[in-house]
Amino acid sequence: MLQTKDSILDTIANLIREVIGEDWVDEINITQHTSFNGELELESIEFVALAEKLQNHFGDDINFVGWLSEKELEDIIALTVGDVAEFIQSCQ
Amino acid sequence: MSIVRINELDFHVQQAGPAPADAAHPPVYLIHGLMLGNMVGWYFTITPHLAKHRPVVMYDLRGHGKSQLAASGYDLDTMASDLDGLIKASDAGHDAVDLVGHSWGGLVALTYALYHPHRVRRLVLIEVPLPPSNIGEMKRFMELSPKDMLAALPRSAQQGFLSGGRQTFRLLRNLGKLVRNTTVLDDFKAAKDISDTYLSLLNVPVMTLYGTKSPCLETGRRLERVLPQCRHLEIEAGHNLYAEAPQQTADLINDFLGATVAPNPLATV
Repeated sequence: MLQTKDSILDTIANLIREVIGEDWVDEINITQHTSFNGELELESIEFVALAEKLQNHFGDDINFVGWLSEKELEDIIALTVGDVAEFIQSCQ
Repeated sequence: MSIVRINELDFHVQQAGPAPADAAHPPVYLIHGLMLGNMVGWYFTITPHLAKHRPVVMYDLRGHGKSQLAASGYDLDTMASDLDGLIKASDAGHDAVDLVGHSWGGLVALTYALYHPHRVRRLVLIEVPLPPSNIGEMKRFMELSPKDMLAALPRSAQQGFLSGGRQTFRLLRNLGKLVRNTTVLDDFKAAKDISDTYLSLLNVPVMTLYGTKSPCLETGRRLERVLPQCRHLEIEAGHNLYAEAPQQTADLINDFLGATVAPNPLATV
């Protein structure tokens, strides 16, 4: 079933909280503008864990590594939750 | 696959690209460097480019990244045995695999290849130091406090997302645990050189990749002289050349590993 961007955003927010696993992240309002490197201060290895969880949830069509191959390091550092949601939506 | 049990430790493993069982190419295993390294150094740099052509297997060395902290076993023999366990655990029916290692991870790959040459199709050594601990700059680096180690790294080596307080804190905390609670520094200092005679017996096609601005460069030139099948390349970069020039590094590796799976013509030498 196709998912709307809002429901994808909800799933990503829940999985981010799971990956970080610290109390403070429950207080943060995660929106499409939230930056992984900025507000969330996500470690790069946590991003890898998040990518794996998203792939398990949305299916193997979500090829994060392939997506990253089109990006420069600066783009990756600037990624927002909305970028990932749009990518997932585009794979459906 | 995510956690694999080897030598009584949990190892964090990630795969990218086609599934090994379906692929025309054997998988390539990427082995990161000691202390500040983990698999993420590959994930955001050369992995995306390699994974277009072949299965890529990345793992965190013992005590690094999300792999379990072991009190000891940071020597090359034990780490090569960890790699052996991983290759056996993820075996997809290939007789031989490709290995890419950076710095200490390259020494792990080289050690594995010396013990099991028939199980290595091609070996890529990036910025491997020999003797392992005798590079003045590395020695000085290892004597720094974890905090100073981090500051001594070039920005490009501080991997992807590293800028915020939480990230730095967590990296330093992990590094502190490794330095204080394990034999990693002793194992590093105790590592012995590998003799030219032993190296000259390695009948596996090797590519050595070095940065022109790196203190390890002389080792690359020595390996070129001594290894029987060696393609030696130098690019304008420092020790963490794969992070400084990911596309170029990946192109060179893809070229060496081959676009097709035909047997290596050098193997009959």
